Amino acid sequence: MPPSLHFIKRNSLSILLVSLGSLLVVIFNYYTIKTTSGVRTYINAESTFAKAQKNSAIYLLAYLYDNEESTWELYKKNLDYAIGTREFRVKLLSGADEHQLKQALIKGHHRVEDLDNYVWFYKNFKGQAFYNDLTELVERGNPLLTALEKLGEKVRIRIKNNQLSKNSADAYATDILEINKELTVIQYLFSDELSQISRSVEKTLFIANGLFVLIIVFGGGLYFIFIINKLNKSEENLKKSYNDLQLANLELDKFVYSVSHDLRAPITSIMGLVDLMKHDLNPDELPEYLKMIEESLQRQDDYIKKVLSYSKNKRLESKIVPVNFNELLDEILNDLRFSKKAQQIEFVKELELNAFKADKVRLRIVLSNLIANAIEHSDETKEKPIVTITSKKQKEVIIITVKDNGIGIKQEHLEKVFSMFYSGNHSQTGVGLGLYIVKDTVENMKGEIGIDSTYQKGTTITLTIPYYNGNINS
Amino acid sequence: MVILIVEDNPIDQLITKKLLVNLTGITPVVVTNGKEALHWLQETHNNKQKLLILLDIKMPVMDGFEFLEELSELTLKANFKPAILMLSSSIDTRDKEKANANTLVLEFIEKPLQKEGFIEILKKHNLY
Repeated sequence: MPPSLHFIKRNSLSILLVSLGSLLVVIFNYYTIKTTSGVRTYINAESTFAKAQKNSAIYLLAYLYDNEESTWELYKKNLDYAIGTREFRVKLLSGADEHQLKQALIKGHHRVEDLDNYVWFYKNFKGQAFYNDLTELVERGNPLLTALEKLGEKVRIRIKNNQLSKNSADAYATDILEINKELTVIQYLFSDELSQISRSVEKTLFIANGLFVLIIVFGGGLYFIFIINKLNKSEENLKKSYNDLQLANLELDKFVYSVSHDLRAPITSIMGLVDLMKHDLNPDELPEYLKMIEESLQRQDDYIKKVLSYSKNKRLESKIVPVNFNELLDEILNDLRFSKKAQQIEFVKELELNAFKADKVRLRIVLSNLIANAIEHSDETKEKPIVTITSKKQKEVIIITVKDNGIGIKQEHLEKVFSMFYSGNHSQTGVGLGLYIVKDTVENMKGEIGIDSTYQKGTTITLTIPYYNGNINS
Repeated sequence: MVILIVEDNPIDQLITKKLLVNLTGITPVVVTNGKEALHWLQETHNNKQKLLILLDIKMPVMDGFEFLEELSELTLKANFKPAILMLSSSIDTRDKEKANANTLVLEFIEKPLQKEGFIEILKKHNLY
């Protein structure tokens, strides 16, 4: 997984929390606003309704005694408002259409624009305890309104026919006042219920908003922590890259130093020899000097080749391919067979493992170098110089050894043989780069190399490289 | 005077040895690394004799600078002070600076060692 995706995945929880918190706040606030508007609309309506009821009772009372047509009209108008409100409630409960609801609202002297609020509040809260309480209160008031209406009709007929005596007017007045008293009680209860709803909405709003803000802050905090962690990681990586770079620079510095020295050494030797020949040449010594010059040049040539192969090996792409180890060894031995030393050596192959997969190009470089070293450091004083190559599989690795009975390496040289440009012995053609290249190449193969040697007895080099299963191409 | 050549490269050994024999008439002792040089100093050399060392830098087992460190301890203990000429194919200024910083080193000589230049250096230090 690329780091950026990993980062997104790790942050998804915090981003989710922030989004969820925000969404909850938005939804909750929407409901709160709608509920508050609904409650406000109902309170307004109730206030209008209560006024209309009261006024109709008062005007009916006045009409009883002044018998004026205008007072009657006022009574009728207020009664219509109250009846309109009642009709609206009935229609809302019975699920009437928008047009009918609007008609009822207009009749009840309410604002048509508030229709949505009524409907929304009704739809969302019907069945809730407080809504049932409200409905119950309305239903308790309905018969009272009907009673008032009927009382009005009776009073109207009596007055029209001049049949209303002072006594019966007083009796009607008592009834009207009784109805009005009961209506007032219901109105107070209704108002109390509504303001209680209002308060509980406010309380819920307060708690819920606090909770949602906490979720958002928590999510944001998590996000912040992830960012800090990520920054810390980046800083660590940067430090590591910097250290790696410094190591690489150090290595490069060492490389340039050694190359410049070792490339120059054979030249300075030859220049020294030439100067010697110029001043004090003894003709008898000429062949020896020429041989020395030739050796120096040979050494430099070898060195240049090795530096090149080192540089090439560094850039070489790793390709895991099937290897026939026996054939590979034969190819290498064929290349090396021609030196005088090689012709005296017996090569023995003990291959428990012959067919495997490996980085063949690098394996060839490593084995060529190791076998060439074994030949070069063979001991001519031994009765039979032998170089033995073995291979076997152990767990998930391949173990290859190159063993010789050559001159061996002194203990004091052993620890340095793999270091860059170290050569234990200048009299040989080796210039110290060989084993460094071998080690570097083996490490490129994700393998390891070890050396075991006894001076004058011989040397064993052990290679451990990965064993590849299945079809691996890189 | 005794002369010690500490040099691993056989060609350079030969060149230095020939030049010294020709110029001073002294046949130098030749060893191939710092460790052998220390061994010779402790086992064979008579501290009362004046000693000139021609010291290469890059050698196996113990290089020229490692030898100088060991030598300074040895000179303190045994109270003798050899004259040292350092020789190297190195053209790295750090090597030259390091060599010149050592009080025992008379001169850092860049190889190749050639007769005319060598005579001048020997004269400069009253060795010729």
